[in-house]
Amino acid sequence: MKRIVALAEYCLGCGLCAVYCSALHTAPDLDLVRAFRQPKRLAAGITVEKNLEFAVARSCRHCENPYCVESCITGAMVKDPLTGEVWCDVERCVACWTCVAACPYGMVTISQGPHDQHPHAQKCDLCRNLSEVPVCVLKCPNEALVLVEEEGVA
Amino acid sequence: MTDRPRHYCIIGNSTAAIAAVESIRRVDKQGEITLIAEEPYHTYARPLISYYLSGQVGPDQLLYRPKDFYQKNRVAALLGVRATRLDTGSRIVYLDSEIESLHYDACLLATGSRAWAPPIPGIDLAGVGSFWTLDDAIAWKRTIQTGERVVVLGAGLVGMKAAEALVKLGCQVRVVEAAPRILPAVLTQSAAANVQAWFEQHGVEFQLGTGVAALEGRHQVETVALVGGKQLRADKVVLATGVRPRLELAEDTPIAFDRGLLVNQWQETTVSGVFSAGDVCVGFDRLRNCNQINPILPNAHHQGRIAGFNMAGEERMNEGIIPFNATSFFGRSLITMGFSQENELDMEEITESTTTGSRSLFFQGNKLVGATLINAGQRAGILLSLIRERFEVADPPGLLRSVPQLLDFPDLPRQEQKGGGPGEICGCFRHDL
Repeated sequence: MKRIVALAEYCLGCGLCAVYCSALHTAPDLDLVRAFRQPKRLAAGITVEKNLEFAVARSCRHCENPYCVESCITGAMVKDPLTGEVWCDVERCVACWTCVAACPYGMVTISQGPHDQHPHAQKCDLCRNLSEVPVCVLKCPNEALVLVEEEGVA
Repeated sequence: MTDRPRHYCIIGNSTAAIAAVESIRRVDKQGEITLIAEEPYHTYARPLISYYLSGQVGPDQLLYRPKDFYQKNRVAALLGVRATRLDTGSRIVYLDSEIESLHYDACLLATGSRAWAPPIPGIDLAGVGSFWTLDDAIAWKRTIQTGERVVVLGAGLVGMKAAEALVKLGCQVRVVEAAPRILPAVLTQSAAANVQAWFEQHGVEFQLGTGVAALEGRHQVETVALVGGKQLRADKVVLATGVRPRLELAEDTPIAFDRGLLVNQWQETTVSGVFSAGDVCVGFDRLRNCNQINPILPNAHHQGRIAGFNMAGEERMNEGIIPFNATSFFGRSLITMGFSQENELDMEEITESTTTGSRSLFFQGNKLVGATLINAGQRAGILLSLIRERFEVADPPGLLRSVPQLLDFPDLPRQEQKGGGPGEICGCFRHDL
């Protein structure tokens, strides 16, 4: 399956990955200005963590046995058996926060976009249905994010 | 093992049962799976019944798995059928249907729990009922009218979600609770007061630290009489007074149980070939390092998945989960994890409040053992992971200074599962491409 790998030694901590992630998921034509002027904007599925020494971008690992899927009370959070992607069917999500509390990496958040009827779980979906290569990987200015493809779905 | 396909009998149709089906199918594509469920419904998400009652979700959104789940997983689903007896010697389960009995190679008891009603006078009056199954929710949806006075007995999670739904339906809601605070199993006094205020803003009244003496009325309930003499007028009374495991199938068998069915870390009962998962069993609790009932959905799924693998011959051990709960009331979130109420153990609480929410962390020495996050749940799972790993936090107050990040805990152990790139759960992602 596909997975985003972050290379800490190249991460500048600029946060553009999160900017473009949020923009693409909010306004799929990737118009930053339009996306960021929406009254509601979807949270990014990638987060830059920083301390005094370095920065690294973190996103969902699409685990083999995802805690978020295990704990989902509605069945909205699923792992695609063919591609291994872990994604949320936002129509079925009731924003109960259980997946947020369950993810050991802190990689699920609750958010509401301009076209959503209600808040829902939001996380890295590897840009499924939006971009062949995840937009964070495309836009990282220092190639600190790499898309790798591995055998299997785990 | 013989060449004959194995036959799996799953008794139950909720979280643990479904998780077991999914893991069996990951290992064994050939075996036959029969699922037996008393409720005549496609598997549904039980915690959503309050959302269904309020109208926030419709019938189709209640489905815990898509409509083609049984077909895709080649499950013979006998819905609306009761398993009446278990013969563990001959490995036969008896049913109250046209199919009278089934032989199994491995059986899962995922029978869950049933609502418990306190033995008080008037409990059988019309207008009094529990709130646990889809049928309960359907019945309430049919009978409750806007503007009615509804008394909810019990201020646990079930009672408070029911109260929220009833407010949304336009009822006048009162909550009666024997403990001195709401959500007494998971909240401290001050956190409970905080959440209680959300409900009071919506007109809900509370009678805390009060028992119920009787429910009164001719045929239909009219009054809730509290211990101490106070009377509450009531058109309806919703019982949210707890649940009890459904042990009846084990009663005439050698399967050992106390409060629930006893299982080992492979989720097998004391009888070979019979497994159990979910609310009905006394499973491993990683927080307390002992066995006990943890009637929460993630635990049911976790145990069901482990049971399924072991039933299909792939050995997996339940490492135990840390009890946690997340929910929202009127759009505000509440997350509790680990030990989160004061009389649990000798522990220190540190709290940080903002205008919108608060975070309370509970420490034993330098180890995080619990947390309550009120409308402040960002990256909460990192805290749960610190509790799970019994991680020594170098700077406990520092945890409250900002949203937690993995980078601050480079030594936090790797998780057992695969996933992500090599080289983490935390710390530097040096990846060798």
